[in-house]
Amino acid sequence: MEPILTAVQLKKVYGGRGNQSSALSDVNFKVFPGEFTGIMGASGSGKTTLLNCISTIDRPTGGSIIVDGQDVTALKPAALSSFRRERLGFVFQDCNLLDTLTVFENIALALTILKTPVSELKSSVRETANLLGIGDVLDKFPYQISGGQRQRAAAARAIITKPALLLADEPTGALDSKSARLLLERLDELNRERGATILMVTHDAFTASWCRRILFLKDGSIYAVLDRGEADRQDFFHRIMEIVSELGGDETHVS
Amino acid sequence: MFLKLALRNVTRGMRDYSVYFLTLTFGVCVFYMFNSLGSQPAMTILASSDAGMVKDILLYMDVLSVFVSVVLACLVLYANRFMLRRRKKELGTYLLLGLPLSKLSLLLFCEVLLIGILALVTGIALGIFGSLGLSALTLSLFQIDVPQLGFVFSGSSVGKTILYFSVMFLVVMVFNQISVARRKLIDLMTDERKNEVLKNQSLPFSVLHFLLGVALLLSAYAILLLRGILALDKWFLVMLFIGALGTLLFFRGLSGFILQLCRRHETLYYKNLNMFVLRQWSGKIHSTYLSMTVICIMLLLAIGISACSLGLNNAVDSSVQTYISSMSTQEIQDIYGGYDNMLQSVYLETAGSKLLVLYMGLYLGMIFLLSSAAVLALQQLSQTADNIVRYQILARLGTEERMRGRAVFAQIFLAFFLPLALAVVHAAVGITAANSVIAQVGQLDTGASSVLTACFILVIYGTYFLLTFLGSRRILRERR
Repeated sequence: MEPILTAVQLKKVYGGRGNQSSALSDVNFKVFPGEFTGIMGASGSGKTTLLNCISTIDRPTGGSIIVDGQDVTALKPAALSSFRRERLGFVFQDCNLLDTLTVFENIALALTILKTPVSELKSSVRETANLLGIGDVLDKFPYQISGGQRQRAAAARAIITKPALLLADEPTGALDSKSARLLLERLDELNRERGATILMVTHDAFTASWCRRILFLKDGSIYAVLDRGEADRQDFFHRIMEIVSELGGDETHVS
Repeated sequence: MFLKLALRNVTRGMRDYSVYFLTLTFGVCVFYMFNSLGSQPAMTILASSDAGMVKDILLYMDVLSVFVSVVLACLVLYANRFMLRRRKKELGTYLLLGLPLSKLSLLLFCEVLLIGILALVTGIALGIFGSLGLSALTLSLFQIDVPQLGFVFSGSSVGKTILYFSVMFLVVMVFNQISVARRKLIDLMTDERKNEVLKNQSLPFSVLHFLLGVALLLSAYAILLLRGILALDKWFLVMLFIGALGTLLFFRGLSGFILQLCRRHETLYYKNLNMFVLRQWSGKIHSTYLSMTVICIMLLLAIGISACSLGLNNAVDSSVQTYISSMSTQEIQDIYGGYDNMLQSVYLETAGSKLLVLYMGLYLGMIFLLSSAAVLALQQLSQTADNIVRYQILARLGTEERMRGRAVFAQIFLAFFLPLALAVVHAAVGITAANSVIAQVGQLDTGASSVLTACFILVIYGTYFLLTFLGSRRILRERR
């Protein structure tokens, strides 16, 4: 099977002459269709930089990122816009809904940018919203619904275009545990039933335990890879915690 | 050291300062033009026959200038407040780094001073060109050839302009001191994070507002057209009142009304970013409808005053022509001693009052136009700054830069065009009513005066529109 995302020798260096700091060095990994992959790491480990590079918001200094057979590091700005709206879906921590638009319109926006005909648009928005359990708040404005509902609306907006890759940056970061669980259940469902490919960045072990595979980043390179295999979430959670404490281990010795 | 920092702030932030600078420059230019009237060739000719009238005109201009400088001072303060808002974080950083408040004030003082000097120089240079144009216009009204038409440089008016504007700058500096000193550091640093609470208007209500507004406007028009403009009784006041109220309700309801209409037209509503633009507009309307009304009325005054004063001039001209043609050659010879002499004296007799009306009209018209355009520009720029996040979201969703640019254009165009459009309609009705009055004096040629008025509006209003659009696009591009 062809991978949907391939990162080869990825490098990102900030700053110029004299005061360079490396955010990513030699990151290699692959994501196959239908995978639910997590990226974990402490703050400063480079996980946001990695996601920004994949989401074409930032450009890596070296190496290449191939999404769906296309090297995104070689794309021109205009092509990047169209690549973003056609192939990628985003869910961010601060859900990023437009506060002037209703929930329905927010979800529809992703389609109007793609110039989808109205006839398709309405049924598609309803269907996606029902899938994420927000069918009854479509006519409300973002400030009238709960944080969890907002985040699910953002997820609906991200998947309605049927992107090759769904990128989620700390999607549960601003949610209480109940809403977080609800969102993760829906993402899990999307992944298993619709075969959506999801790449999620998080620093929270509970959130990460919903993934099938986790990449741990440390100081800009991959430190460990954890596969869930047949294990249940409880087991997986403990194994994640082990590596997390291992990662934090350096700090227990104050030498 | 401070001068260097101030100089760097000004040159680097020139594009931020552009609206502030433009307003000051235009203000200086207009101020100089109308205060240097005394040294114009036309006035010298007029003074030769009617020195008293020249004195009167200059006196009126003096009085008007005081009023104008108050208006300009308010404008400059408003523009300055906008600048401070945009730079809050920067100022907060200076304080955080331990710059004493007095030094910060000194820094702002230097910046205002630099911008002020620059605007004064540019404005006076522009004003010298402007008075050349004004001279040409004035002389064309006399319909006599004056051989010398060169640049007029009036030292005393330059002095007066510098004096008035220096006082204005002083006021701005004092205001800066107070507003920086009163702010808490924490507010300066975190103000960006405070969000405004969004209120969405109820749509049926806005449709009702809109329809009521249109009905009121139509009845105001009817009263005006049926009764004429000179009937200064209580009906006239009623007309003014319902006209103003109608304008207010019109703007209050318009966006909701159009939103409602477009939502019916789904293919239109869900096309490109139409949905976004319409929602933005109607989401902001509760905070903008009042200023839109005020701007519309200011524009109406600007258009009405300048068109009527120009029109009245032409009317007086043509009545003079009728008077001349009613006389036989013999009469002309008897009374004036020759055709040329007659022209000279007849025109000079009417010239004084004509000029007074013309100058006052143009002066006030220009200042009203300048004020409304500047206020609009600043309002739109600060709204754009609030919109950064929304445009960021659009960019992340993969909206092309061109599509976003068009949305910005649409938003600013709506804000600039709507008050102007309604003001033009108001003015057209008003001028029709006024025509019947002016026509009693003589034939009115509204064509030429309308063209001239349109040119003023196009130049001043257009410049502000363009600057606002470019500024907004830049604000949205730089923060990605």
